[in-house]
Amino acid sequence: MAPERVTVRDRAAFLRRADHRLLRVAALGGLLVLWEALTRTGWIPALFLPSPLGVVRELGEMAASGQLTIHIAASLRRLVLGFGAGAAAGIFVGIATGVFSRAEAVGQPLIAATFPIPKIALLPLLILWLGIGEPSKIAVIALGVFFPMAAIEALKGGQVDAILLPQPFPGTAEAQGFGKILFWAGDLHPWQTVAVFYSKKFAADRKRAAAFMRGYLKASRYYYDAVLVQKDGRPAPGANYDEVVRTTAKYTDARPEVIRLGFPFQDRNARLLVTDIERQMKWWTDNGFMRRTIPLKGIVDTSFVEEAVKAPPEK
Amino acid sequence: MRVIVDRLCKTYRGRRGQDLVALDGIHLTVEPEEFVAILGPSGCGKSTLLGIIAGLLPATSGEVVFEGERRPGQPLTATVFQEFALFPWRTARANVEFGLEELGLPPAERRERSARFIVMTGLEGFEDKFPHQLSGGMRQRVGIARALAVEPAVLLMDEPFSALDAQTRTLMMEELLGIWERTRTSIVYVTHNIQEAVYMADRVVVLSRRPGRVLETVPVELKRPRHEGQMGEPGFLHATERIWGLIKSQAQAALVEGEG
Repeated sequence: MAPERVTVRDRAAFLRRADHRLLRVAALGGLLVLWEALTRTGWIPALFLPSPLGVVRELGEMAASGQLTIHIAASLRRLVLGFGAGAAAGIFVGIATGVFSRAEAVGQPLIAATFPIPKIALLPLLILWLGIGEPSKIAVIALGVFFPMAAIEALKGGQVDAILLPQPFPGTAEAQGFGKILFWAGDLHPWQTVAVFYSKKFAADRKRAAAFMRGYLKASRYYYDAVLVQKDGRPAPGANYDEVVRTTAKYTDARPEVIRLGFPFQDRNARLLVTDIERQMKWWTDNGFMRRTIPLKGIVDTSFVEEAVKAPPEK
Repeated sequence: MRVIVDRLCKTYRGRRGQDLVALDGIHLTVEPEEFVAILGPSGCGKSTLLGIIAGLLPATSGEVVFEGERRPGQPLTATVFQEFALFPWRTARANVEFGLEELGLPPAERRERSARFIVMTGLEGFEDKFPHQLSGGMRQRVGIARALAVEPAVLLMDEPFSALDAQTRTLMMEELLGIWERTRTSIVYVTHNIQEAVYMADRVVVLSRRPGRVLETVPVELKRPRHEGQMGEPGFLHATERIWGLIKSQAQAALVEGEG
């Protein structure tokens, strides 16, 4: 051991940083000057990157002409509405999960699971939930309303390239310019999306069930004759075309010009595509979605529609 | 080694250019094997002083010098912090061995030394526990063992027991005195508690409110090894009264101004 004399030095000096305030300002100012120079000399076309002074000039002009106020108002409106709706729903859910332990038990895992996911990516999850859950009426309605809307959002956002949708969604997509109708499924393949479901109780009441079918058949023919008749491969509007357009527009909330783009196919005599049901069931069992096909007799009863077709026309 | 704090000043420069003088011409010496307490009211710059001695803060002017014999590779100081500052991802043993790793000791020697200080600080049986599994008292034992394990020339302690409850604090004070009797490492002990300072230290350096100046150095005339019974002795009472007389008006002013 030897005597030493050591002066303590600041060992943590490397952790401390100088402010360099002038350099901060110079960096920002320098970038603006460089940017202005690059656009002014034409190195970067003003079309791709307007110069800072050009932006300021445009700001002045827009403020003077009142354009700026209009655009700010429009942006603010979107912001207020969007934020208001989101905040209202969020606050409601937040308070509910905060106050009620059951709401928390239900909501917390769902929120935690879905929060970080881009909202459109929830689509497969929602299909899973709705498909596997109770096949209740609620699920059917939720699917019917939610799925096309979500699918349209997916198309809008570019997450999917093409989708198969019933009207009026394809018409809406084309009218709003984020989609293009490629073809109508019915032009390529026999196509029938509509079926009438009877409950056991209603089917047992033979007289009323038959009467309903006669009325339904009448409406089906009216619809077909008005909007689905074709001549030489082109739609040939019937006498009641405008009336059917108006009625459809009223109950689907779509604009008449969108409705006119195309109507879902429906057999004139409301007959089901029974062969297609068999074919689809085969596909579902082949691909492992169903364990075995169900005998058609158990799910399809064509006697009501055949009886109505043969009935003498009403006076 | 002897520590000489020589005309030390520390000024903090505020963002708006207003200066805050934390230390103003501090002059003090800590002899080898001495236990010195630095005591003062809140905001007197005690922790700043300790930070400069540890080389963790730059001084504005003046200097801190260590003089005397030093073993090769021996660190000048090691610090025990008020909030323990343990590594939460390391076990008690791995925390104690941290400084030894920094010194570049081989594993066998690290293990031997950490075991020695684990026994000394009463941590046997807790070597493989993580900080969150330990009580406050046990955590600070790890903090003390970690600082002692590097066998520094001077041990710096910044209000090491003020985060502990009163009973644990009393026990830890006794244990620290026991450890000090065995290691005889010089200790600079920062505290705002007069009884604590007098009970532990050979000398109490009393600082004034901001700007921090040395008001007086009060020697404690109590025999070692110390024990709780001495708290009633005339030497103890004399020293505490003397110190309280020095800082009472300062503490009152601090109270009115609401300084933290």
